[in-house]
Amino acid sequence: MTSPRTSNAPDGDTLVEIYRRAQLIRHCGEQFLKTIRAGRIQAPYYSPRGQEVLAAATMVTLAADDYVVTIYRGLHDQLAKGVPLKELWAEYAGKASGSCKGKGGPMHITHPASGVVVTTGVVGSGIPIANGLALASQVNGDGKIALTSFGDGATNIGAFHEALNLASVWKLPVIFLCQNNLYAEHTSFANGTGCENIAMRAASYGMPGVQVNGNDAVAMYRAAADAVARARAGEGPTLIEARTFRFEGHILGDDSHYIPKEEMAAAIAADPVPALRRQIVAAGYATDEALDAIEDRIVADVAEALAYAIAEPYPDVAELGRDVLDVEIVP
Amino acid sequence: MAYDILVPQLSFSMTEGTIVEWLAEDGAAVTEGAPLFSIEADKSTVEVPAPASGTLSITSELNEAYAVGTVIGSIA
Ligand SMILES: Cc1ncc(C[n+]2csc(CCOP(=O)(O)OP(=O)(O)O)c2C)c(N)n1
Ligand SMILES: [Mg+2]
Repeated sequence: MTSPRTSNAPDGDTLVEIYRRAQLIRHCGEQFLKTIRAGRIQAPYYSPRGQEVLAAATMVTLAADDYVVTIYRGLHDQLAKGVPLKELWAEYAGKASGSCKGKGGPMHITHPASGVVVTTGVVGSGIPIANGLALASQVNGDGKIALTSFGDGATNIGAFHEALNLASVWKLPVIFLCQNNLYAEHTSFANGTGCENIAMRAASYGMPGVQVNGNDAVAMYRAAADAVARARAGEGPTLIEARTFRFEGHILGDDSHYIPKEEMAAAIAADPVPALRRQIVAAGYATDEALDAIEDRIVADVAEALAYAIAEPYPDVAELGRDVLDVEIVP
Repeated sequence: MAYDILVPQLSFSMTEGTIVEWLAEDGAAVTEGAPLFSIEADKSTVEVPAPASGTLSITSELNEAYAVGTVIGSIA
């Protein structure tokens, strides 16, 4: 382990960009919920509501061609990394012009051009995949780094521990971002995880473990930027535990009945998206009018993507046998 | 133009749903986002908000199971 760096705080323009991405995620999420409830799209939906600032502040520290591996609750990561709205919406709707030709759906969003290499539904499975991408970068010497995003529950899966160990041994340019929203389905963090926090698990594998308030744009940005600098400098992996909360249940249809009402109310009262907006305006980085204009643009862009996704055709039946091994290989 | 009200898919395994209650009357004015009907699927009952504002027209039967995507009414 080397001593931790201390990256600078984001400047005003970067903070506004973090806000723009957070607001895009929030609005896009609202429209997905509405569209699915209206029966226009049939898809499982894992809301990232409450975790927007975390993703936005992290992804602005990455280069466009850096890799991201995320999970079913991944809309925030995907949008913050730059997956285009139309391809994303069309994929959610299962349409042929989706980012995976309508064959992946929301749980498997893949868009290599924006660095989102894979989205997985099997808890913990993306973590070793990020190691593989980081190893490729190391071997090719192309300077790219990989970031893998996962939940608190995923850190109790064997693959998490195996991947962290190997990344440390090989000093891979990878960032392990645990988005600790304090629940894994219906299981609270205290009921499912044996140690006090996730960051301390890094000590077992000889890498820095950092705990940060993921809902604080400045703190999140600095923690991510530190890990990016380490990875780029060839100093190896970092585990970041970003504390956050999810406002809308595990999946659409889950009413969060297992979360104490006061806990939920306190989290919603501290909603990171409007908090960031107030922070930006108070610091004079942007006016309310300028932020309103950004939001108007988002509303228009999402409406366009939604209409596109509904209007596009479904994939042809012939697509079922394409992009997969549909012929049995007999020795 | 009338906006069709469809049976939504509200959970992974849901293939059909049963409207157990309309929260607005046939012919009443409804507002987008306000609770419109209660639907039962997979042993749980969920309130679904109105997808649009306008006059409600109910074209389906209560307590009858309909496949996801079926038109159960419209808002004009
Ligand atoms: C290997 C595996 N076990 C169980 C599941 C079922 N499952 C889906 S999401 C989830 C909870 C994961 O919680 P966490 O890692 O905290 O992520 P969050 O959903 O909170 O973002 C579980 C247990 C699964 N998909 N994969
Ligand atoms: Mg969790």
